[in-house]
Amino acid sequence: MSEHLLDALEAHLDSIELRIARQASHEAIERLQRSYCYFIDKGLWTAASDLFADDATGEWGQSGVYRGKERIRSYLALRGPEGLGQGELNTHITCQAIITVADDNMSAKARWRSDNMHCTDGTGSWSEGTYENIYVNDGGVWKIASMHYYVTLICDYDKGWIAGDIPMDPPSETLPPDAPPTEVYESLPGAYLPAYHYPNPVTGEQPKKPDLPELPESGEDTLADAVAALSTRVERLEDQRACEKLQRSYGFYVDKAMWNDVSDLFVDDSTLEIGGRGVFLGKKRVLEYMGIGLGPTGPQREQVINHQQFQGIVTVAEDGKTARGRWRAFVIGGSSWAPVNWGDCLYENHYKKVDGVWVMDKLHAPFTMYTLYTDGWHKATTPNTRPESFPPPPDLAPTVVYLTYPNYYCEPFHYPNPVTGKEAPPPNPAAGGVANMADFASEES
Amino acid sequence: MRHSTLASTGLLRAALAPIKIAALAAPAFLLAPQAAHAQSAIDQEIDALTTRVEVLEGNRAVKKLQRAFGFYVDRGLWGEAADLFADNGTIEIGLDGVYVGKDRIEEYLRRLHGGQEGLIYGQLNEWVTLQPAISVAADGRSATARWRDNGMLGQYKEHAEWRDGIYENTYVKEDGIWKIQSLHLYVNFLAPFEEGWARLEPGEGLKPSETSKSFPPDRGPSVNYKPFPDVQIPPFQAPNPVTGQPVKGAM
Repeated sequence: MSEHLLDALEAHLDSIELRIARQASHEAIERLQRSYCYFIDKGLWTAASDLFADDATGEWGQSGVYRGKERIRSYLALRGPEGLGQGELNTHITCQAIITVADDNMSAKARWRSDNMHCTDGTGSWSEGTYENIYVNDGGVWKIASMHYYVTLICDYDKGWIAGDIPMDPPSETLPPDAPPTEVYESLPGAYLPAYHYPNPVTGEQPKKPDLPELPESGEDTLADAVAALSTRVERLEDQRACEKLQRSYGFYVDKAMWNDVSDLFVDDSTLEIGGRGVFLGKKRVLEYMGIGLGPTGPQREQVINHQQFQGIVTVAEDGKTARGRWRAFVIGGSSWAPVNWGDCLYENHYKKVDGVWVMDKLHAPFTMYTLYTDGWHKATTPNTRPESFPPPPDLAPTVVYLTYPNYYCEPFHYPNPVTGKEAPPPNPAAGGVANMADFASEES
Repeated sequence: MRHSTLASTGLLRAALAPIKIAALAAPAFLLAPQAAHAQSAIDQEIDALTTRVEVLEGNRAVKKLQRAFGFYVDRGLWGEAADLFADNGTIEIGLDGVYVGKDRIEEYLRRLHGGQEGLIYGQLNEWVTLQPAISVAADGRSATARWRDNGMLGQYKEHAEWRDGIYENTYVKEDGIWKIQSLHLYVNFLAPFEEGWARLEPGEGLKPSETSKSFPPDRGPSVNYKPFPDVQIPPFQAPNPVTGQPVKGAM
């Protein structure tokens, strides 16, 4: 083997190893942040504070800043005894991670969201907020260096958001923080936009690629081929993350009515089809769909339109040029001037790589169920939208016509069964059919 | 869990450096064995990195499996959901006990939801599956994961419920394919939408299903459940990711 080839192979392997290490860091940070939430769920304050670096900081809503592990533990313990008391509920559902690992793999930043179910003194509440956190690689162990949780809303269970908004607690008097809040804001009915640690994934600056010596053409050298194959395998993992980032960014941008950033995730020949509204062609029409149909740009007071992007299954094509994703959006919506609702929406989306950047190719979002917060899905359901439901009109008719809950619709799966490798059979023709339909007919006539 | 940084890269360089020096200094007829040595060092490095990629792919496969399970159950595809399990895989949900093997899992899921393929009119069965904390074994052949269950369940014009639960599951890679080895859903509560969880009386939030009586499990419940308003901490299979110590507060 020539000295030159040896150097080239080494350089490539170094680069691949760093990429693998950074992917492993993504997984470690996911585990870290999710563990934090699993611990505070159950009042395991010590286990949770052990996840922080010694000189870490923590800030929750308007708590002010707590410095160091022990102070963070004491702050968390303000919530109640270690292990939670009888009748206490503190479920933290933490999802939609956008993690950015530094080039040198020594630090990282991440945005997350958390939906929380609480019960204190016999009263139930919901809350939701955004994390913008910093993590540090401490000798191979990832730790939380800075946690900043921004509260979007806290509401009484019975009244829901908008009608039942509860303000954030001010800084504690029993355990005053080490520094006042770094940002003063109001949760719902206020509207606040926590700054993003990362630029728009499509229009923003792209990660730099290392400058590596060329390897021999495929088929000329077995080792070079093996290195190239390994590199491709790692690239598919990176592709998957890029598509997840795209989809999760879509959700974060819609939350805050950032219509320009939403449409920037699309390109000129992309399409968008949400509910039964039909197909919108291209980036400009996506912007119109959002801006004309869904209200003014930017977060509005007394409004919440969270489109929480959960449960994603992203499948990247072997050639790395296209990908598919099945997701669900868990929607928390409403305002003082429009209905307050729960929504549940599915996605079967297409992504494509254009000049090395993953973009939205087809966004296809069939609704599963929308209901009014005050009633619940057993009493009230919102029928699917239609092309004429609200302006602007679509460019093309819906690609599929279906009814939403209480009816049954199964959007085909883009992936075969992960174990058997077989396609799911077409839906049972009887599915969604007559149960006690006569009852419904008499009730609604 | 510890994560490799770039330490081994340095090792590769160190291993190759004397070879290169020797290769430069050596007469031509000695080059072949030295080159073979260099090749084998690179081969080994590729193998080591491949194992690490397999662990990453394992994380991915586990996420896909469990999320796919949620999406199948959402639409009443019981056979597809059961096919995600290993042949001797198990499922345990709430107080229903343990069902063993694909056929039993499929039939249990079907009966639990009314007995039909798919859902019936007005049946809502969203098993929202969230927040995976996954630990893949270093050899990339097995894994554990904690997940969050958030159920939006009900029957139109009759009832609607929120479900809150935690999964502690295990996964196995057999012949290159990841499968669910055990699915264990600790249901914290099933609360009616209108009243919410705050009004649940002890024992009200979790009951054995009718299915578990008419179609009994292979084994009874594996633990003693204490649902909300009690506080139960489903034991953590994985250690604390920073201290590496077992998580205290387990039952």
